Amino acid sequence: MEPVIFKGNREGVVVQLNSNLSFEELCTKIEAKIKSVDSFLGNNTEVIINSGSVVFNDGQAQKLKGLFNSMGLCIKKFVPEVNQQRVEVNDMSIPEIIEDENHFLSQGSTLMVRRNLRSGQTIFHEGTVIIFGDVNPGAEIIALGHILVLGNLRGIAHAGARGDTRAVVFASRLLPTQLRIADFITRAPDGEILVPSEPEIARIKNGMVVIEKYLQK
Amino acid sequence: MGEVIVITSGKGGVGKTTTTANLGTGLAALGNKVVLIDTDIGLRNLDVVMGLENRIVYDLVDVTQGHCRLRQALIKDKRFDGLFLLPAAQTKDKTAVSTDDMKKLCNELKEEFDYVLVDCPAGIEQGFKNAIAGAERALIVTTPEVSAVRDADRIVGLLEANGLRGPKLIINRIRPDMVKRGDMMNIEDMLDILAIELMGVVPEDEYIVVSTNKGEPAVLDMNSRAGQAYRNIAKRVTGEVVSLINLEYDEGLLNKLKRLLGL
Repeated sequence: MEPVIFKGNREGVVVQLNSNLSFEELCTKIEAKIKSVDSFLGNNTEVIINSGSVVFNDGQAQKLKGLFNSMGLCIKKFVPEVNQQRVEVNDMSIPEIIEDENHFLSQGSTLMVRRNLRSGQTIFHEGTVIIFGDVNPGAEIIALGHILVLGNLRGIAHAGARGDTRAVVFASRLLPTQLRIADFITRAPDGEILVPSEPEIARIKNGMVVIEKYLQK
Repeated sequence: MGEVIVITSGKGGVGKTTTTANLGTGLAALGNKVVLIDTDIGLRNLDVVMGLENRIVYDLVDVTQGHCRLRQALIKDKRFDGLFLLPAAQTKDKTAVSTDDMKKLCNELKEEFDYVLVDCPAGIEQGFKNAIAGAERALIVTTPEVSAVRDADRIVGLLEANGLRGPKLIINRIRPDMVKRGDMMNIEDMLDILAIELMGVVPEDEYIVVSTNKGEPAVLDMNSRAGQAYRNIAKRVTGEVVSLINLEYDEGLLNKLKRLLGL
């Protein structure tokens, strides 16, 4: 397959880069290609770079911009977008944790369960578990990754069962008999049970299991 | 071709046998041909509750082991021509019957009867496995106690695992006055946890004790509130739509008030 292809579509001129080549080699190919089609493109034509599955970083994007500019072309945008360096957030908000792809990968696959888990039923999974239903008292979920319950969690949930303290437990109604994350074990305080009215998430913060409302105002 | 319905609960003492006796009698009173099977081998009770104890010659184990023909072991009820009982053996244990035996037996019985009601023993061991083996529908009996509901939940899970989907719930021995005071689990609480369809609610009724001891199912007593509830459940089993709980609920409270004021 041609490493560099020029195409026209509704948005304008698209430069398609299909390549397993290194970035340097790609640059040489681009240069050669632009020279060969020079007559077709007017000065300062805007182009869109489509790099398929390859995502350029900031530095590479700058180099490409320079290269195209020197050839009299101007890069309008990149598809997919240039990968920005992730901003470190001290207070890990939930979407950050869950969208951390590397973390997900290290936790294996995700198991989706489309039924209620009843007393006596257990699930063990080497990854994240998502339950579309209720987890009743007497039922148990053990996951090496996160546990997400889109329903009532009344049984026992153990997330990060091999000691991953980054694991979280989410439930639409978090009312577990017992909640375990990594090697922390908690239970609801004795006495009056407060029924949560909205989704909550439990995770470890400063060596303690903390339960918070999922939707922060 | 009839239907095989198992009546089960997990926990003991919640009223499986009482429910089987009353539902069976109620169905027979509606003109159906009904057979009740007691699978609680070693601890049989259904015959006592039905008042048929003294007529037992052959039992379930005699049938499955080929000591007698099925017809010979079926005991005809005193009150209804269409009602029969297949009693459990008292001297054997649950392992005397296998799940295959039960499947064969249920298939044979449903050829002839409109309803085959299987009274399940407490627990989840061999007796339970036998009871559900031939069943197509399940009725789960529970009382408004956390322990009974917990066991019922386990049973729902086990039934699902055995391919018996869509079990229905009978809530037994509810006391509307206690529910109103907040001292007893209410119906919504139980349905919230179990997430299965409600088949009926039976109020606590002293008359049940009397009827059990006499061997006369309460369903035949027109003054018994539990009897009324069982009559409604029997109708619902046949597919008739009978208004649920709320009516019984209010009726119970009203009656209580009337009794307090009027007497």
